[in-house]
Amino acid sequence: MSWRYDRWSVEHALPVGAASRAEEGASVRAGDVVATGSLVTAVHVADGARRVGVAARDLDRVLRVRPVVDVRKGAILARTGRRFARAATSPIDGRLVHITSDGDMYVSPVVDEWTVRSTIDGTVVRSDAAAVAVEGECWALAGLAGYGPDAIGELALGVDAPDEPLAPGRIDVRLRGRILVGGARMAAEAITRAHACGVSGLVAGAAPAGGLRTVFGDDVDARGRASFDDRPTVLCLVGFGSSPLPAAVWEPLVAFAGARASIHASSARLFVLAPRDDADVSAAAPLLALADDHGSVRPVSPDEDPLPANVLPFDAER
Amino acid sequence: MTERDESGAGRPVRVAILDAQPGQLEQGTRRILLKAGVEIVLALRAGDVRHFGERAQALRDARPDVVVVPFAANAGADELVLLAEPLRFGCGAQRPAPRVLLACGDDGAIARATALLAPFEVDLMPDVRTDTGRLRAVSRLREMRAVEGVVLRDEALEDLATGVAADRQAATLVVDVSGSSTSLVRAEPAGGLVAAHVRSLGTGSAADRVVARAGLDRVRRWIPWAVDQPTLLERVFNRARWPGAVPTDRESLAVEIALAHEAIAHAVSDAVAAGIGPQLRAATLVVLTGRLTALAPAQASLVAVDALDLPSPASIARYGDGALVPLAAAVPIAPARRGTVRVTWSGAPREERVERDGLHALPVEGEIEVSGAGVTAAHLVAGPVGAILDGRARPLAIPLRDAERVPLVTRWFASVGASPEIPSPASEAAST
Repeated sequence: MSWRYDRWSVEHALPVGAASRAEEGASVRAGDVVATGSLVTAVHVADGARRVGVAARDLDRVLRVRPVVDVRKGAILARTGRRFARAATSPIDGRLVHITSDGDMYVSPVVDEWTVRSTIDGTVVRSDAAAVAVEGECWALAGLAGYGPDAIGELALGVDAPDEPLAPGRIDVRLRGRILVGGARMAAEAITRAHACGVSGLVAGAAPAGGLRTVFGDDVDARGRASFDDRPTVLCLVGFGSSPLPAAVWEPLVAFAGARASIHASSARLFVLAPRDDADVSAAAPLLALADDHGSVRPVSPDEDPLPANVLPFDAER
Repeated sequence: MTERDESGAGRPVRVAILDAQPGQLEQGTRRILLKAGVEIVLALRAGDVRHFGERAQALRDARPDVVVVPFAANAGADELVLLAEPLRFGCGAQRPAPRVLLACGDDGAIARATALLAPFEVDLMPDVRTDTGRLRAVSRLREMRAVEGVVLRDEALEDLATGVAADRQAATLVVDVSGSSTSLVRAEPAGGLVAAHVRSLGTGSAADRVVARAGLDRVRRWIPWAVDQPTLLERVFNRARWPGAVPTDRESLAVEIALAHEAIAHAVSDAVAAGIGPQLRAATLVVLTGRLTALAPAQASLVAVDALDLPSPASIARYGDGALVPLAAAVPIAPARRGTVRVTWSGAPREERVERDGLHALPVEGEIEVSGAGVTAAHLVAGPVGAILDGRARPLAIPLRDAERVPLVTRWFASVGASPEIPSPASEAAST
């Protein structure tokens, strides 16, 4: 099965340095901020336990502030004594991010803030420094590889047929904030133009591997790469190079046009936040065939005779 | 070349190394990790130029299952702080939390390191410079990989190498390339064994990792015709995400051969970095398994000759259906202006001239004796490929420009009959 309406749990990994997070049990909608934080750079070390004269394990007792919190230069972080007080103070204006096992305190300058948004409507089921997970019901289509940050927006068709490549000429600023559906291929020109026009994300059968390297760097691989920086969001559904979409994948995409949707890059899934009965999907997964030279993937009919050597169902574990 | 080639991989174990005292324990640690067959996802050293936040983010992104901390003495505690704190900050909330394998033989250092690495669960191991330390660490890591009822591929290969070495009374090197790993296992008839099982080097699901590690040009250089980088990259990416794919034309077969070359060459370089490279390659019998057995005999033999850079003559065989099938005799010749190799086959000696940088296959089959200037005298068993007389200077210098590269590589392939062609059903039936 390609498309499926179900209850999904989506884990949003957080960068280090989360300052605030949605609480477990909170209801969120796709696009809502579930965590914020700042980039942690070279830290300034404030002597903690040794400075205030307590063992590292007892430092917690005398802390005035706890990570993660903004502090001003000279702010008291921990203090002991009354008349002859001993205090640990912040060496800079910044954010107290970490306390070491020796009881020292790391203060990082606040140089760049980040936010992580939910990709589905639902309830927060996990919230800690590493991830915020949201559980909810929606449509989902498992793709092959996602690149870039998560994206949320209205689903829009960028092609008229599932075997058409996404033409850069069809992308303009009117598509700002949308998740654009390409057909068989989205080349680097289309990806960069879409990003420049403010398109939220791109979904298509395939993207050229060389184009992905151009956009995301030479160390990009076939497993995808989720990131938090300002880059395009790309979801390859079937393969690399060129891969026309099977009808069972394409037709629901057409039916969902205009619905709220999101791309969760690390799990390479496209979520569509539409009611269960908005699309009629086939229970059988369409078949895909790898080209003889391995340069592309195409849908095949089960009646094709003879079947090519390398055939897999769309939902095979790849 | 089917899915069964991937069996026995075990549970993947991702390992990060925190090396507070670089240079002292690095080789011992690498030997352990290579033998244990785990995937090294990150190695942080004390001199790492990245700042605290970047180190912590690298550890979080790596999501290690195990963090190996080789620690020689308390003197390195200050450096360990610089690595342990990013670990606590980056992976403190990871689920499940990584386990720490602390390899140390000094009680004071253990106490200090354990305190620094709290709250992670710490498994104590003896110093990695000792045989006991290495054995304990390898068996602990393999326990983590074990899946009930499944024999680990690495262990099966080690059994094979040991069995063949004892049976043939010859130092045996087993070379295995699967979709997701590459293994080199050398066994002595008397029982000594060294092994390097490298994850993320293979011709299937790890194909893209081979390219990431070796570089696209190094993979491309083994293809005996012109191919542009974007096209090759697409084939590699699709191959990496298509489990069990079989090459069905010469283009995909050539990519498979090229990937096998680089996977083995990089496994050898990992072994060299761990200090076991020369020991591994000193074998008189090379046994090919895994995906290499699906290549034509000449192709598999050429891959072994090119990538292993054997220091002395060796018989090359493949292992399939419980038996060894001889493929070729590899005869490396020390670089000279010109060499003469004396080959004795069926009792008849003959002399073969090999030009500098020359490579050709002598059509002999069965037991042969080789000797000559620049050749270590040896008794070998040749197969259908014959005796491959290799006078090429090492490391192999392959030009980047297609105009120079293609004729050279084509000549090498043609000289041993290894050109990447898919046999037609008719020719396959005829050869059978």
